[in-house]
Amino acid sequence: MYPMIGRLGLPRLLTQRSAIIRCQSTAPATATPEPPLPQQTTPVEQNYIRSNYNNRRWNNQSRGRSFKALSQYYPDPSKPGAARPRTIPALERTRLVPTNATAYTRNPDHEQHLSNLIDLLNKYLALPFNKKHATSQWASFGEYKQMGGFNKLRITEYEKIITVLKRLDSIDPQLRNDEITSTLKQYQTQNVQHKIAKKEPKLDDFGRAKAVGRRKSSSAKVYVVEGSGEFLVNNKPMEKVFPKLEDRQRLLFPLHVVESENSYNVFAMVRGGGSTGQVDSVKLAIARALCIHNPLFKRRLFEAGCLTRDHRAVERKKPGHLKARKMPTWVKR
Amino acid sequence: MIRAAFAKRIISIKPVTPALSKLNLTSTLSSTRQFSNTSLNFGLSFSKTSTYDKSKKKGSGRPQNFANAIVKSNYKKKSPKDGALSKLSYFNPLSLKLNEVVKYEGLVLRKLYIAGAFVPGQMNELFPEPTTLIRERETKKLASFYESSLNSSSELNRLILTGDKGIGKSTALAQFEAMALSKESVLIPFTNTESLVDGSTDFKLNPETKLYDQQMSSKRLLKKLKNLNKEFLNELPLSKDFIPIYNTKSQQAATTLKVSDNATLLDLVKVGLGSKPTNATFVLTTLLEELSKQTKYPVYLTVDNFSTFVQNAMTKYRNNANENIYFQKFTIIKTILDFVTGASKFAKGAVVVATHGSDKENCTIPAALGDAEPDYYASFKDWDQEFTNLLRSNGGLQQLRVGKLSVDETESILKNLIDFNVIHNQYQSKREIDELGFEAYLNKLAQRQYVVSGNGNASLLLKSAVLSYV
Repeated sequence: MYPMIGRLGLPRLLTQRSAIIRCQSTAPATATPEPPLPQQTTPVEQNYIRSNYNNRRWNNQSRGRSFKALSQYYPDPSKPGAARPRTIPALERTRLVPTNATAYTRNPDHEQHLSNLIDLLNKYLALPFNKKHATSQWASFGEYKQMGGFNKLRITEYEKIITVLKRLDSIDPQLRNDEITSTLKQYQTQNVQHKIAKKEPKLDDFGRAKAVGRRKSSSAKVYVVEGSGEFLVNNKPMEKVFPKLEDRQRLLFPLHVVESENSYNVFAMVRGGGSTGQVDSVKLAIARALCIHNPLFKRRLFEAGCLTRDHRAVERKKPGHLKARKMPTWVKR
Repeated sequence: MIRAAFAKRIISIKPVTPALSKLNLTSTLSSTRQFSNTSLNFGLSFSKTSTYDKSKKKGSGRPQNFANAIVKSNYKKKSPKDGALSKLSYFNPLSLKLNEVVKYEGLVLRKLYIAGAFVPGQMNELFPEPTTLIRERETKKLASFYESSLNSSSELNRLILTGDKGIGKSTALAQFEAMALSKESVLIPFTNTESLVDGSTDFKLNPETKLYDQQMSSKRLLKKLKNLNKEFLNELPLSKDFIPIYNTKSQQAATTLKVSDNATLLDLVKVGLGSKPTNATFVLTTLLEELSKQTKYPVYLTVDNFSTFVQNAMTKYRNNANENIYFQKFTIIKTILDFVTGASKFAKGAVVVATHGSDKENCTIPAALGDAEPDYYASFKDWDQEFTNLLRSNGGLQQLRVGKLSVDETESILKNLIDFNVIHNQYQSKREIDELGFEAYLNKLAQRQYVVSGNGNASLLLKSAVLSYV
């Protein structure tokens, strides 16, 4: 994209076609500068300029000679060998050229904004980014409508610009410059809704971490406190509630992952479901409680699969089926 | 000899003839009762409510379940005898090595086997000989209790071992029996207590005592007592003449034991085990009575699975009215309870009983020990008031609540298992030993297994260390 301001300080043509035409033009350049163009009066003409193509004094040159001048550009087509020139300087002078490159789009204002942002993004494409840095609140659809084409604005267009804004906002804050910041500021919402800051769970006065875990129809609430490895489930010893060794090993897996089997005491209250559901719900709750104790455990526990809530649940029965999947016996006739 | 052996196996089923009834003698023969093939072949208690006959082999493989197959197949023969076993020290009640795994001496071990001290679920078959952990609290308390019982009456030394399932009650009882066998003393162990109430043996009402005699069980016990205490019984003379209960007077005369003939308690036992049919229960009760009178040797009576009297309070036996018989109506059980409650006593000795974890836990025994307030509106199955009152008599029983293992005790057990090379489910053990060193690895393993085993349940610890392959 070449600069918009021309030699005379006037905006240049933005389209490539105009650039190509200019290069191919054979009209000689005049020595004397042309007088300034008359002021645009109509709203339409405000967005356009009159072309100063070939720098001709259009007032004198065009008056009275229009027919003659035009005639060389419009030869009688009946005559053979009449080459029609590609451009007509007089017409070019009177032709209205939009300042906006996006003038011929469906929604020029929006496209202009989008184009600016994309240019900015392309300029700073190499900077590192992380979506966690994108915390700004953007103008709503109604707010952006005021500058984005009013009724012409579509939801998809709005969503597209928000995507670009978020991408720009995700650039590392320490590497941003004023250009990015000031550009983004235009699109931020005026009505800042103060988000209720998400409460990070903490240990209580007794040093306990409280967490909840669920699996199937079981729900467990667990208190984990630093201790010597004691374990109570529903106020009973673990081996009485879960007599199977596999259940106990599965229950203790989060502690095994962080190698702290006897560093914490666990008190769990669990209800609902059967043994498998109860075991997995307590297991998830223990993992979450361990993250409260030490956030550094989060990655290790996540990679071990301890922090993923198992969403598998009993599938519903459907009409026409005997159970979720079972169908009645197929009868040929 | 063959005839005698044959007589032991087959129960004589002779009906009472009118001629004999005129003599008004107490019949020594069993009442007509048909026995199934199962009880004849196994001779063990069959109180399980199974619907199929386990003796009938179905398909390939062993007919026994896992626990029985281990015991009967003698798997301990395959364990290596040298190496780790030779490094263990012997069990010595006078100098206890706390938190250390020890083995039993040769003679003591043999007698413990005879006494039935080793239960199938204790995994003793992993080792060439059973080993045991000297626990800081439990073994120490048992040792001090034993020390105090050497010179005091058994009425003052009555102990009950309680605790959760798999905590180590039977093991503690075995340790006490080893202490008793370490010195010259008479041991009377009752291990298969369930067989007295589950209807697996014969029974007959004694018209004089109004209690039911159990001849098979009595003979079994007499045989055990003879094998355990032969040398001591031979030295104890009878205090009064013994007239056995026989059908005919001539048989009675032939086997009467007289004090003037220097008859000993061993002779008394032999009468009970003799080829001629006799009331063995009467022999057993007489033997216990004689032992309670003598002062030469301390006498130790141990009862394992004592809570079977709660589980099966109304026994599987039925009377003439087809009603279940209450367990205190049986002579052997009544005799045991007399010693447990202090109604009968040995001049020197102790009575130690242990509950069974699998039996139902109602408030009968806890109320007797003062651990729980009984529900006075509870039904019989929830509270046997008569039994509670009986246990409370004469000051009640002392209680030793067997607790869970500590982390150090867990570590000792695991070290013993590693030395015997029976832990095969720790797949990264070699790598961890190389990285951390053996001691640190053992410490880490102990901490892990301590929590997995329910914070120190001995049985669960063994299972998680040896049987689990996850």
